[in-house]
Amino acid sequence: MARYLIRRVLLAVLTMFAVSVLTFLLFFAVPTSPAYVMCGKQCDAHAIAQTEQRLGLDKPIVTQYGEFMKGIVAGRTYGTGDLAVRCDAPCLGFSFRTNEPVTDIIKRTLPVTVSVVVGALIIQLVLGVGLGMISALRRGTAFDKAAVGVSLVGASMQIYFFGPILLLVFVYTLHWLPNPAYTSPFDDPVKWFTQMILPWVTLGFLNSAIYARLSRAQMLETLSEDFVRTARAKGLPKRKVYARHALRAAITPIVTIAGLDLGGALGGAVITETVFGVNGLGRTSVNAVNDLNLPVVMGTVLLAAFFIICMNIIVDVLYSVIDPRVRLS
Amino acid sequence: MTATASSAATAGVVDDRPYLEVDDLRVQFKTEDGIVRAVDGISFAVQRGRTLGIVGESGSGKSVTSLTIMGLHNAARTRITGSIRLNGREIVGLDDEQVRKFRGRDVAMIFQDPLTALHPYYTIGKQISEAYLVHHPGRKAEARRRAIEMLDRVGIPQPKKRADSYPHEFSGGMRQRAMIAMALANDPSLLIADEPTTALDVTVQAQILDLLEDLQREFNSAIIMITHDLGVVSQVADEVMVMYGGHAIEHGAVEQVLRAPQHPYTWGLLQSVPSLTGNAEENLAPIPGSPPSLINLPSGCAFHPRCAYKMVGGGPCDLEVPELLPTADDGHVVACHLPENERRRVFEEEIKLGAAQ
Repeated sequence: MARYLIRRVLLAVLTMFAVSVLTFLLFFAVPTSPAYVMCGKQCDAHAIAQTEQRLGLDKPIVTQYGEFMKGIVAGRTYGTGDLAVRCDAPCLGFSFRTNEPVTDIIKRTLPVTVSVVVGALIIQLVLGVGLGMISALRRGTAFDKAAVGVSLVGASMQIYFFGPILLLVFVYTLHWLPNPAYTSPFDDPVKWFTQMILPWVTLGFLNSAIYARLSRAQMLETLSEDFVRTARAKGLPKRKVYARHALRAAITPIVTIAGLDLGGALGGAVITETVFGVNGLGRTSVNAVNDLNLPVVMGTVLLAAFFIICMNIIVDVLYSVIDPRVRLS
Repeated sequence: MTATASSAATAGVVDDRPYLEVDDLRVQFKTEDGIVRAVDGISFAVQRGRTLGIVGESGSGKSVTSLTIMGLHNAARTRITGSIRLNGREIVGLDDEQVRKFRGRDVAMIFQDPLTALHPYYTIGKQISEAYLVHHPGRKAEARRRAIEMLDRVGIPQPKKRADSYPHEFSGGMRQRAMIAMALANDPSLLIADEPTTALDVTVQAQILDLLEDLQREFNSAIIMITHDLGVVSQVADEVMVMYGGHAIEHGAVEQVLRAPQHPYTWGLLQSVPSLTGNAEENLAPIPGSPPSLINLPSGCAFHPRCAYKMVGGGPCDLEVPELLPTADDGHVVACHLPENERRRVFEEEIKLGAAQ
C-alpha cells in the first residue's frame, strides 16, 4: 500500500511535469507575443522589448521554464528596479493584464468553483443515485417509467437553457431567491447558501439524470448476479438483500465515476459559472483564453490537471477499500 | 428392483413419509414472446437420507424446478400451480415472507459456480455466519463459532484463519466447500445442489461428491442433485428423474435408469458420455438437433423431432403427448410411445454395446 502510494505520487509528479511543459510551450506556440498582447494600445518596439525583458521572455525557453518552476517553489520577482513585481511562492505566474499574481486569482476563484461543484455533486449523488436505485428495485412500475423519463429529459437538457429558466422563475418573477453570486460561507453562511441554490440545482439536477441512469443500470445488473440469488436463498429479508448485498456491489463503479467527475469539475464548471455570472475558475480561465492572458491559462490548466490526478489516486485507493479483490501493487 | 414402490410417480417410497413431495408442478413465465412452460407437470418425492438426481440438458426445467422449491422466482412474472409439500406443509401459494423462513433453514441450496455465488466483498466467515444469523437472530458470537465449525467440517484447513479470507482468496474446490458449509449452517432437512461440481476440476469433483455423501449420512438430509453429468448421478443418486422440455420422461432407481434405460432420450444421454476405453470419434454419439423451445414445444412427444426411433406418419409420436407409465420393473416409469418390449430390444441390441457403462 505505502509502496503503491509512493509510486502513484511519483507518477503524478511526472504527469504534472509533462502538463506544465506542454502548457508552457503554449507561450511560444501562439502567433503573437505575450508582451504585445499585454502592453495595450500605446505600444512601440521599446515598450514591447521592455515588457519582454520584464517577463523574462528574452531568455531561452529552458531558462524561462526553470524560472517558472523555481517561482512555484520559492516565489520570484518580475523585472528590476521600480518596475519590479514580487510574486510570492507558490508563484504560478503574474497576470500583467490585471496586475496581480495568478495565485491570487486562483485563491479568489477556487472557493467559488468548489462551492458550486461540491453542492451540485451532493445533489446529483443523493437525487441521481437514489432515483436510479429505487427505479431499479421497482423495475417496470410507473415510478420506474417516470424516473427513466425524467432522467432522459434531464440528460438531454442544457445548463444554458435550464439555468436561465430557473433564474427567470425564481429570481426575476417570484423573487424567492437572490441573484446568484458568491459570498464566503465563513462570512455569511445563509447568504452563501441562498445565492448558491440555483447553480447547485441546475448543475446537480442535470447531472443527476446521468447518475440515475447509470445507477439504475448498475443496480439491475447487480440484482441479476448469482450472489444476490445466494443472499435470497439464505432466507435474508428483501431489505437486507438489497442494502447489504446488492447496493454494496452496485455502488462501487458509481463512487469511481463520482470521484473522477469531481476531479474534472473542480477545474471549473465553465457553463454553470458563466450562466449564473459567478466568477469561478472555469469562467476565469475561459476569459483568460479569450484575452490571451497566458499566465492565468497556464495556472488554471495546471491546477485542473492537479485536481484530476489527485482524484484519480483517491479513487483508486478508495476502490481498494471497497473491493477486497483490488490489491494495490 | 431394490425399491418397493407404492406409486408410479413416487418411486422408492419406504414406510415413512417423504420430506419433500412435489405433485403435478407447473411453472410458467410470461415473456414478450409468449408463455414459457418451463416445468410442465412433474411429480416426485424425496425422503430424508436419500438422493434424487435430476438429469437433463440446459433448458429442460431442472434448475427452474429447484428454484421453485426454494421460492426464488419473481412472483409477479411466474405462475406456479400444483403442489410442493415440505414435511407435509404446502408451500405453493404461501406469501414470500412465509417462504423466506423456510429458505436457508429447512431447504438450502448449493449453486453451480461458487465464485459468482459468493459475495466478493464479504469474508467467507461473515457470509456463513450471516446464513446462521438470519434464522437465529442476535446470536453473533454463536454464528461466528458455527461458521468456523462448519468450515472445519467441510474440510477447510485452519478454519479460524480462513474464515477471514475473501472468496477470491480460495481455490475453486475450497470455495465450493465454503458454499456447502454455508448451506449446511442451519442443518437443513433438504439440500438442493444445482450442478455443484460443474465448475470444478475432475479430481476436486470427486472430493466434493464424497463430502456431500459424508454430510448426508451425518445430517440425514434429503438431497436433490441437479446435473447433466450421468457420472455424478451414478455416484451419488439413489433415484434418477430425467427431464426433457419441462416434462419428466423417465424416472426410477438409479440402477434402472442408468443400466436399463427405456427412453430414447436417456439412451442419447448415455451415448454422449465419453468413455476412457472407446474411440472418441466412433463411440461418442451426440443427440442430433437442439433442445426444444419452451414457448413452442413440438407437438406430441417433445423429443420426437430428435428421436431416431420415432413413429410418425399416422403414428402417435408427433400427435399425442406420451404419459409417464409404469414398466415391468417396479418403480421404473417411462414416457414413450414405443412398446416396452421394443424399447428393451433396442437398448439390448443397439445401445448397450456402444454405451460407456
